Amino acid sequence: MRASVIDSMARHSACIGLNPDALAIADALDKERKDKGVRGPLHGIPVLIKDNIDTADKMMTTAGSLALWGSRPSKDSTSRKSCGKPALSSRKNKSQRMGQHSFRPLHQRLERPRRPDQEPVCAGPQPVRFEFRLGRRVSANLCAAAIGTETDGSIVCLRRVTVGGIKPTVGLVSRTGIIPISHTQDGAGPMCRTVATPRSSLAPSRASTSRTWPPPTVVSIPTRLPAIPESGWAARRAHRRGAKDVRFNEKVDKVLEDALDTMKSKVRSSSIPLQSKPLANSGDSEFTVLLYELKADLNAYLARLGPNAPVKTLKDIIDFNERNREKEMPYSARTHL
Amino acid sequence: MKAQEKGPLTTQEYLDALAKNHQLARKEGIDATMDKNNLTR
Repeated sequence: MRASVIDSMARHSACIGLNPDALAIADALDKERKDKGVRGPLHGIPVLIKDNIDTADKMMTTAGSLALWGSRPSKDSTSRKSCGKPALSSRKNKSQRMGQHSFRPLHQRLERPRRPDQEPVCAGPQPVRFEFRLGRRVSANLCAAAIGTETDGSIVCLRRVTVGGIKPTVGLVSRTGIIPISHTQDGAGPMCRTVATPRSSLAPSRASTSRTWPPPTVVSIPTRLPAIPESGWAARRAHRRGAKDVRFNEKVDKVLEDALDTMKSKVRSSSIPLQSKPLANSGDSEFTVLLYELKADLNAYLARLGPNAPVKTLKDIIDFNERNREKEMPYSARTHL
Repeated sequence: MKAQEKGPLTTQEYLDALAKNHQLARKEGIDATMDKNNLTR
């Protein structure tokens, strides 16, 4: 079955890199499962991994940047190690291109294909986040789960592609070995077809240690995520729009009402509805923090790659991008670096 | 270029912006919402 999954991935050009050792790893893990038992819920499950999460194997980790072409980290990211290395045969999907795009003019984004025979995907007028691409593969049942990263909403907005995703509290999952943007905002999290599955995916990936970046102050780390039923997504969507105002047709309304009832029975009633005050004027300070941390965190990440890293500093990446403007930035201007 | 121009994480501009983020997201954000809804922290 895994072979057919991998074939499907390749046939549909659904990811930018396949681990050539995936099947051999899977066979070894199956054998271990039989001989020694199951390591955890993800033992032997193929997972799609975003291209900014280090994998110490034959795949590159580039964050979609030509400046990091050929970068093969010598160590797994902590996230992948704890969640995946022994359990997963991994593939990679496109990631954010390293910093040369602004968050805001999302409509300008075009994704550069890695291979010449792949067409770039035009984002068009709608925002395209790279987790959407991961999410669509999950939604199409090409993989059981994907691990993405979020700085500013990439994972949690996946309801658009009917995928359940969790962005863990910042600091719950280690960012060591993940190409960073901002250590006070970045986080890696699972995306699956239901909400129940990412809960089980998240559990093994927990690791609060961060070797490279200062761990943020986390007031409390939940020991258990609330049990939101699968139907909870529909209810949540309805809740966000005001359940009373949402009327589709009899059958859909019934599903939504049932889902709301289920949520109310599972979650303390006082927490529904929850409305937090909009964070007025947070944009400026958030962006200032992001810029400072991008420089510090990216330089720390590149230093961790060691002497064979194709670039050593943020300055090197900027210089590379300038020298390769035609290839690296054909569609949009750099605004972040 | 914007990020490259920034100084170290000890720069006062960074520390002030970070403090503002925490004030808005924690004290006036999650904490206030939790208190308002009588939820346990």
